[in-house]
Amino acid sequence: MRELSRQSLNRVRVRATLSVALVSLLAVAQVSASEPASSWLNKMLGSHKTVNYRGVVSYQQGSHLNSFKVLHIVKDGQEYDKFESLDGRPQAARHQTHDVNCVHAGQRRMLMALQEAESQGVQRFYDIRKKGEARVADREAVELSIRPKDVYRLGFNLSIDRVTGLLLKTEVVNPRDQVLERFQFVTVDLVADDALDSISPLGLLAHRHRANALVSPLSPPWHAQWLPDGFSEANMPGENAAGVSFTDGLAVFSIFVEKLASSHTYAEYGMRRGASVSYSVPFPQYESLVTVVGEVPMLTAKQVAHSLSWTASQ
Amino acid sequence: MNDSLKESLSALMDGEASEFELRRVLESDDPELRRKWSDSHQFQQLLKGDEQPYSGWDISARVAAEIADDVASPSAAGWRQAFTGIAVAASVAFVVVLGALGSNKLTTPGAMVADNSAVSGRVYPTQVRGATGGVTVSATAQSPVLTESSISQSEAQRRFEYYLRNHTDRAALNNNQGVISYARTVSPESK
Repeated sequence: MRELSRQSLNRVRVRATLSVALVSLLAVAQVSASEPASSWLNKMLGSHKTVNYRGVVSYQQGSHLNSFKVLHIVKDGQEYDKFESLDGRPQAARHQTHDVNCVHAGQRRMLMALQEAESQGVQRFYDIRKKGEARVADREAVELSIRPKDVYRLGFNLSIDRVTGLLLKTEVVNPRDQVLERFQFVTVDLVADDALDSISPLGLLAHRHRANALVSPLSPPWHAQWLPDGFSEANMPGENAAGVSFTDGLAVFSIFVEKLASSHTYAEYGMRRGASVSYSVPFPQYESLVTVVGEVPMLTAKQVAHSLSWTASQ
Repeated sequence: MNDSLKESLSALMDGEASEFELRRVLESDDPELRRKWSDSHQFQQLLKGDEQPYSGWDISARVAAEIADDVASPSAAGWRQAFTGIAVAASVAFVVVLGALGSNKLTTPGAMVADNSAVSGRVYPTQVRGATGGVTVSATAQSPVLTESSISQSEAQRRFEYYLRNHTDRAALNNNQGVISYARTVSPESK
């Protein structure tokens, strides 16, 4: 009898120990599941400015698949990018330089989200979760699931390199969780910054900021009366560009206005490819055709296009 | 939100909306109206002391997003898609059910009806011809006659590619994805 009760006591003890272990395990899991999601984004953000790599990236959209050669080097405070199409009609490689210290609205929004309270920036408009681990381009990656909290933006599945923070794979998904497009590295090699020699300096197309712009920013005679919450202007001061772009840190859309003869007008229409959509609305009274382009749901493009308003002086 | 919309909305909330007013509210894509509609519903339920298990849901926004998603492209035959009363109600019910099922297999353009001018109030060439010959000309027909035509698929495609490239110049600097964003601008058709 005593033997039996000792046995059951032991059993209880084992069970208790097990459940304590389980609870503490769960607690650990919970912390690592909720906290690091944003720190991975932070790591991703920093990787642009520190990691040198060469690789092949594939882009899939619908039934189409294209491949590109990518080289990214950070040297002397500059980011150098070379981007080359590997299939289809041969196209000139794209070269681009970028000042490491120049922070754009998109990154600013993202940083804001990571440094400040959750009520600000990206996390106010997206649920960001760590989904698990994955292997991409023969590298260990962490999977993040980013889902919008409203209907005005798209979702993302990101795979971020565990060691370097490089964004190895991006899927853009619609509200039904259908993948609209996919960027995925097939191979990626970390390289030294002397790999830059393979870029011809003459071919470099610098992205510059006119700090003291001689061309005063021509503010257009129109503005959008409606923007989804959290989108702010992404144009640089002094930049004399055709359209006006807005970003929430992940999604970007742009508004373009072109002249349209008043003698005829189009009916409004939408276009889409991959995650990109465009929506065009004629405003015959201003002889203009408004087109909103971006990686957003069609509804966002449509509502922004419809909300355009001209200032009285026009 | 204009006054007539406000009136229609309050009539709807009081259960006294005419079919016309209902249509006006349903067809509006004014975000302020949507918010107000949702707010007044929650307020009414609060007054009644009802529980609000789905107060955070904005189904109308989801429905609007789904409808916009099925937007006309210039290539489609009946591409100028707008909705008349019954079609709107049907589509809304349709999409809500579909949303719940998590499938879009049934949202074919066939569920939509081509616009016959009543909704948009625009003048179409056929109407203009009908209004000649001493027939009383309606107010809308007196506005400058716009020959509304669908643009060609190739022009629409050209405009899309052009603006997408311009957009990507800025998107690549802001979407935290960098230069690989340019993969989007390589048109599969351009090969």
